[in-house]
Amino acid sequence: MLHKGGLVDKRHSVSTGTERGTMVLPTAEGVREVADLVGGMRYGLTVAVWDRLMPGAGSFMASQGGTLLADFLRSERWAMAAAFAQVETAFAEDEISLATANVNRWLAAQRGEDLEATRAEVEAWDASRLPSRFSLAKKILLGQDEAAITHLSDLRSAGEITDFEVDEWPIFDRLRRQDLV
Amino acid sequence: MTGGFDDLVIDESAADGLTAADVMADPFGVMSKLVDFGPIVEKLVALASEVPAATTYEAAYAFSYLRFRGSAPWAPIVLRALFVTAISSIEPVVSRFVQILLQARDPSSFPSLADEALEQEVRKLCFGPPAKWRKVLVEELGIVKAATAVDWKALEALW
Repeated sequence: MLHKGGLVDKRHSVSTGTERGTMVLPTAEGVREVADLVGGMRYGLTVAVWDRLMPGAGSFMASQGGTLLADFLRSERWAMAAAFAQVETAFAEDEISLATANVNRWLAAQRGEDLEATRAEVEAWDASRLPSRFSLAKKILLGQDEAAITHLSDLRSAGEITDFEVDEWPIFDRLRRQDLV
Repeated sequence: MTGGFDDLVIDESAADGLTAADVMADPFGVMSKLVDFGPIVEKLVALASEVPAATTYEAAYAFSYLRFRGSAPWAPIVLRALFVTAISSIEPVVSRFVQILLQARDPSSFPSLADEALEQEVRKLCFGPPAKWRKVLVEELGIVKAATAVDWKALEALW
């Protein structure tokens, strides 16, 4: 593309769906996306190679990235959040870790509001065998807000979710923006 | 070949008050004010289509290039800078990892990380797009997790 004046060629068009011949106009947001994509790849590669040289280190590093991941989601750095969630998913060692990683991955893919981006995958997800907070997460990811609020109230009453978690977990960010929690 | 530009009018009033500093600061913007590029582009597209040696792809490319050339002449420069920055941020990391892994796998052939043959091997393996890096890391060096821990498809789209 660079050698063609920034115009989308056939290969790029096929992989991204952008119309061939369109000029890619770099925006500030686009530049940040690229930087985050590259940063995310560096992180993913580092964890993967480190895990090879020091078996087990990958899972530890991936779990430690959780706090950063939440920050990236909250600051709307979707590409970086997606990269961290992908590492979490790759190194998840049990069902709970994998479910948590997937929820984070879907939040990144939704970019705050686009619930349709993940609807098919979330609908196919069987959260019934997991702790109840994952069924709640599924409702939120699908936009079943009324049911989610009721479910959240039940979990709070049962002490399964604390006020701190409602304030801190990125899964509640969309509801919080709408003053629903 | 047909065509001509005699009928194109330069809007001289747009030059009123122009200074050398204005031209230096934004030459494309100044040109855009002076000349309506629309008709020029149309004529150039027509001329390009008459070039007998042009393939369909070349003609399509020329058309697209001319169509967008006037609208955002800075875009290719920014893209190039972004691309170079992206490459220089990730390529050395990949090369270094491959170097470490190769040396760890075969210390008899590559006695140290400073080994010249090792460096040449790394260059040979890593020179190319992300798909090649993925192949080296995942298939040749067995870093299986690298296949799923990285969004190769998104990265490849940058290239």
